[in-house]
Amino acid sequence: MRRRSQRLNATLSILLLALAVVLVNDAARRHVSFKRDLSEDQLYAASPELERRLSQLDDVLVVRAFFTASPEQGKVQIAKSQLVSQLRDYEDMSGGRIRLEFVDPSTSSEAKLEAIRLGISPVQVPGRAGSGSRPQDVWLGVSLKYRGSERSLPMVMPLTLEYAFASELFRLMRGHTPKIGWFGPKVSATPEPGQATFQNARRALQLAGELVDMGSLATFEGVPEDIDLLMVVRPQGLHPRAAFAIDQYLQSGGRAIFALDNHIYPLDQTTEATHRVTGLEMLLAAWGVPLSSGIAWDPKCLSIGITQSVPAADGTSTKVRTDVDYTFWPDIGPEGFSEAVPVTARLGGLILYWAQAIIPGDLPETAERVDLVKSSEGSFIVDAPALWVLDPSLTRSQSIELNAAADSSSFAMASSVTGKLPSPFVEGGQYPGAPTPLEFFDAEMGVSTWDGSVTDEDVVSLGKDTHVIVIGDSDWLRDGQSGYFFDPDPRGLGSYSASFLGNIVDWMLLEEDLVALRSRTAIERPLTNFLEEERMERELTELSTSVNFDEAEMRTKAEDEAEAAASMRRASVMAAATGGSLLAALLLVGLPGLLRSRKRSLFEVPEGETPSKEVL
Amino acid sequence: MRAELGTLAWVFRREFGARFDSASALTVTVVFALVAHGLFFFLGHPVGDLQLPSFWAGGVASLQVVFAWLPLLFVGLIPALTMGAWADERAAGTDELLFTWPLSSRASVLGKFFAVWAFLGLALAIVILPLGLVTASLGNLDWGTVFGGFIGAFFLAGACISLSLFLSALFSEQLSAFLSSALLLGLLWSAGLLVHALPAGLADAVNYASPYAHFFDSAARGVFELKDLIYHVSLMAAGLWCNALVVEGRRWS
Repeated sequence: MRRRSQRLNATLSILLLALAVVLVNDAARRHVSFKRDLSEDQLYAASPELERRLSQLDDVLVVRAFFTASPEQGKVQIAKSQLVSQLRDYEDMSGGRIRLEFVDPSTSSEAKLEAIRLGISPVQVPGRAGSGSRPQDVWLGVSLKYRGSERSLPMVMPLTLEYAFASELFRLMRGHTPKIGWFGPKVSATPEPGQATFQNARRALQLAGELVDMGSLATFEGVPEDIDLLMVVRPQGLHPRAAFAIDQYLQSGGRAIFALDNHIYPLDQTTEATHRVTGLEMLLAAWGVPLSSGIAWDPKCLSIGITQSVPAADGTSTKVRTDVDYTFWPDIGPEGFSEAVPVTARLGGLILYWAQAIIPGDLPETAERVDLVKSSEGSFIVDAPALWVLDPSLTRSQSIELNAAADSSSFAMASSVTGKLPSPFVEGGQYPGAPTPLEFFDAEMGVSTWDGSVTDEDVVSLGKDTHVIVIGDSDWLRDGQSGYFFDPDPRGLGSYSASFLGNIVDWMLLEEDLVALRSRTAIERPLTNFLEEERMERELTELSTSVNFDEAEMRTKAEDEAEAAASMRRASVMAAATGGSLLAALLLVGLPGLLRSRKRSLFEVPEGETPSKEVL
Repeated sequence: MRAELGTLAWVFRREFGARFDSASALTVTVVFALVAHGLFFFLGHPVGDLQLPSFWAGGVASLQVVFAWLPLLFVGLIPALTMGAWADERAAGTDELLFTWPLSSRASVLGKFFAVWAFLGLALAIVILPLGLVTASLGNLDWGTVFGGFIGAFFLAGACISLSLFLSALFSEQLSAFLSSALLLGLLWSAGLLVHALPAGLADAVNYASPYAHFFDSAARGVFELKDLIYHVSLMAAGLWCNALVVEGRRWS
């Protein structure tokens, strides 16, 4: 009877304890948000930038989460729980300035209409795995309302919530949507084959603000005052009148990014490049950031796969796929970015294409220049070739010639100039000047008329503080092809372009906090590449020009040796790690056991080792 | 209270020291190290949502692979360390002797728990530290993540040990204790894999109840979350409480 009652008591105690554990954890899940990210990357904790902005809220920010209450897919439910937890973290961080509301558009028609009005729409998610259930429309949108303005995030996910939330919050706090003026090649609905288009870059800019086409420059009406940032892409033969308009826009405190190319290469390798002036040379010289006439030749460059024919001993030839370094496509690594400014401090890389250098000019005393992107130390500036040719032997002979003729150097590929800038139109009477013949203009820019009139406007020089970024290439903004150029897909090489553009635009729009947030990407942590080191030691990383059988055989043998040496080094590393563990186990676990002469257990207490009276 | 602490410390010293008396401790540590290193260098982690390439294939200076494997390794390791803790006593009849000693059940349970926990901490350090040093010599290892992962794994191990010790107290044979512990820990580990197939509400609850969700999503990435600590400590407290209840019940039966 007594034993039965004891068992009953024990069972009840265990049940009560289990209930207490569940309740404690449920409460902790809802109300405990303390979190510290101990990692160097700081990817999993809310950033100080967001915390600072939340503390700057002067009014209540209403955050409405349009979430489906019960997603059928387990993984979606977990993602939703994480999103709820993140939003609650933001609520806590705001110190009562955020009012968080949850609504479910899948059960309330009123909420559904409201979500649709805000541009939030559901996504179709497959039903539960193995259940055969139908796909479900899941709502995971968020709207932010602050001082009468409202912005929405149509679809959020845990990893991207912070940046998306912060971007919209910053825009709401700023009070207006920035206007970005685009002056570049005209948008054609049906571009000709090989013609460069810039749709991806334009779409990326539309995320940062309202994109306004600057046709006004082409018709010499100047840059409207309400343009927050002017983006000038690949101008060719720009008329001085348009250059003057840009100059005076900057003198009034405007900001501009210039992506310039004097040498335009078609993708078709048999068509010659066109070489033209941008029309901005005068401005660039006055600001101390002139472009080189030639283009950068950089041994640290992208490799392009080609198929080569290698003659065999029997007189036949075999096709071999080889990666050829194309030295006119500099591959800028982290070491090529300036650490002086946040905009480039944590960028992973950038590929430039037939880029001109920003050579050191006469920098005005009232301005400051920072070189944002630089080529590698082994670079040269060379005359732009007529065609783009992938020929390893040509590249190697060029390398020998260049190194023999001059010392290599690192060149600025993109520079930032801040401060008061002088206007080149003040002296020399170049403005307004005589009208230039119509044929000088580039039809691509849409310039069609010039009435030849001369105005007598005042020319402002050393006006308000301004900020200009000059990049000696515009191809990095071209729409992505084969993973190159501007590809918004984060897996493509072109995603470097997207990060760089996003950062410089946010920087120019005075959104440095957003730059810091976007830069929260994992730091790359590559291991020492043993194979690459061994290949380098055997000079196998030099461009392959093996065209005869013997040379190809020697190269294959050297490759095998390099592979064997790398394997040996890998084995030694594993031996060091595992050997270290085994040695530690012997010293810390085995040795103490040996020293204790006989096995003891709690109740085989040797004489003299019973617990003392004090202990008991 | 002071006497209780003294008793606990004495039990801990005896139990911790006894771990080193048998060759099994060295064997377990060596096997643990060899398996963990083998998985880290050669296999990667091709299981569940957290799929990671092996160290050489990934080419990244990170110990995430070894942290990803630890919960599954604990499924075999922890029952091996705890199976004898109470089952041995029962099989040898020494538990009868124990109950005649002026030791509280709480002190005995805590002493045994801390002894296993400390030993496992030592084994973890033996496995992780050389890997960390070697990886750091080959690349820019983030020691913050390693530290976070280590602490998280240590607390996860504490929760698993407390449950295993409780099960060990229920059985008189080591094998039964081992199998029941391995089954329970295996079920908890696999809960994370089942969420795809569970109804949403249940998936969320199962995910939160799984000790591994409180490790993979936070500590294994170097993130310390207070609610994870509360979870692990509450699980430890529950396991130890139940353990003490069983021991106390046997004392008076």
